[in-house]
Amino acid sequence: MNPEIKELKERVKELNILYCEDEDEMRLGSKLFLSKFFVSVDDASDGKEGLDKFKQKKYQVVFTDIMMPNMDGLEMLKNINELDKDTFTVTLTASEASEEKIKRASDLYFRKPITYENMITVMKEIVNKFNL
Amino acid sequence: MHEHYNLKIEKLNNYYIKIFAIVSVVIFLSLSFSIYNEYQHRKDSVLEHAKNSFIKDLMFRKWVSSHGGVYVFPTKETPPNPYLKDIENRDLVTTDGQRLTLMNPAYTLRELMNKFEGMYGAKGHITSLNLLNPNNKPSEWEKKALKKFEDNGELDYYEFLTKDNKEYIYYMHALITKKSCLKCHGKQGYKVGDVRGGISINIPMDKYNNNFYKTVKKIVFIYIIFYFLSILGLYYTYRTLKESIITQERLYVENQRKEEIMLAQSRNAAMGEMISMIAHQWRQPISVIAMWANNIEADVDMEELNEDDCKDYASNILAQTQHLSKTIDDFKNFFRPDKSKEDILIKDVMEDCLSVVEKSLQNNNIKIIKNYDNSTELNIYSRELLQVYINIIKNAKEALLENGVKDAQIVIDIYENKDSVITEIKDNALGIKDDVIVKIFDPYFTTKGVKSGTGLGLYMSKTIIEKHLNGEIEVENIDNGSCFRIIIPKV
Repeated sequence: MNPEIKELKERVKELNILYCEDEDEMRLGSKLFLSKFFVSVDDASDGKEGLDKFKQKKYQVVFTDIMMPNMDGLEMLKNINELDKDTFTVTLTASEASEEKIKRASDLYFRKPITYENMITVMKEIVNKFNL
Repeated sequence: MHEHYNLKIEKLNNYYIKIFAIVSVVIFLSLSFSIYNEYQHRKDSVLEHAKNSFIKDLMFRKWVSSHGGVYVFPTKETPPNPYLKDIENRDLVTTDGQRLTLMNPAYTLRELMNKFEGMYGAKGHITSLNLLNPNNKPSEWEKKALKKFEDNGELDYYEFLTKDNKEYIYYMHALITKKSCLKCHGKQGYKVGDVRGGISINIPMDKYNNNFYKTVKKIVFIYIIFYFLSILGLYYTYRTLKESIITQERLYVENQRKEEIMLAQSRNAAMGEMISMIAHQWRQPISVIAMWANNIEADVDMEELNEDDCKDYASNILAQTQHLSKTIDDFKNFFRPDKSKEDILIKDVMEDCLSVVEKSLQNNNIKIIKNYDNSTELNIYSRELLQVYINIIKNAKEALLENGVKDAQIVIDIYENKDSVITEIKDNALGIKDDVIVKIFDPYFTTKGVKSGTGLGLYMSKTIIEKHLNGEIEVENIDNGSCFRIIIPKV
């Protein structure tokens, strides 16, 4: 039991979250995890759907995979940054290719599988970013 | 040593044994012929010697005969011939009182022969079956020869005989009665043309035999040298040919080894490819498991853990482990050693291939379109074909990604005609450059740079298809892409 976590949750829970992942299982598990911290978590199964959702609602934080059908994560992030460069973007990917490009395209980058510590780091970075 | 080359060397050995035998026989026959010739020559020359001696004697006799005999001073060696006592004027007295006596041809000849016998190597003897002078009586052999002249009308006769360990030629020539003979021999009842006697010539063979042996020695020596040189020549060409066969074999073995190394390299490359695909396929379920674990951690930290959720997380994790387990089976199948041929549908081989690469294609937004019309099972090493498929599809994937093709797709057609099963793998990656397409099956040719490409993938694919499956592999550019066609014969 880590009381710090509860505190983190209290600080970040009001943010709107968009989560893009094409793998159903991954999306299910991750969305559940994110829902434990954030009240509002929306998900999309590819980059195109994610971009559409982003255009309709204000999201402070976007989590995304890279390799997805229709539109990949990199292209979606590029579009999102053009729409709102203050959005905090986190890339979670299994891809080994074009690491540099991915690092440049997002604020935080983690290779799958994502550890609990990775996710706590993400939460702390969000707190810093938005001065919560 | 390789079977094929063993046979070649065996053939060469047989061939050379035959040549050796033929050369030996020819040289031996030729030597025998030469020795025989020398032997004949020995006989001919001694015979000629004998005949010449005879002719010389005959001429001398003729000369004496043509003068009707010659008168000489009677001496101890040449007393008046008692066998001519009936001849008128056997003994003459010259006007100054010098006595002369007549020597008839036989008498002169006998004296010549006795006095100068052996001077020319030849020893002559004049004789007859019907003698005036009993001193001229024939030997047993001469009797035999004279008999032959009388009975068969032969004019000469010879034999080689050994006497006191020495070889001689015994030659005898008939003397035919002429008119001039009748002066002395008339009263013996001869008529012109009768065989009156003969002259026998006796020549020792020493000189001829020595010459013969010397010449034979020379011939044999020359033949031995010739034979030795022939065998040396044969041996040299044999060695050269054998060497060249061994060189051929060595090159063949080297080539084979090189090919084996290439095959191993391409296998390794394919295996590396597979391992990266495994990594890829495993990354996702492991990530999912990690995420469910993260959920448990978060629940604990937030003091929201409850039994139902826990069970739910656990079952999700178990589902992922099942998935992982299944991937292991897929790959185990791929790495299965391909020791024996099996009856298999080509489309099933392709499905095995896709089960491995499909994930990576989907992740890269590459659509796969399959058109299968395949019902004939082929008896092949299916893992090798699988390797070829993976190679081509992997190349297509890389080309599609490199060129950033939108709506990337790989179309796989498998169909049959009467003789073969044909696989076409088509992409829309804009095609292959002309200078690349001509070299695409060359070993160590790669467009990917040393880091990612071995340059062996398509070379080994071609080797596998052509040498192991007796098929054909070809490539051509089609609209917006390329098409690899693999034709595998049904038998």
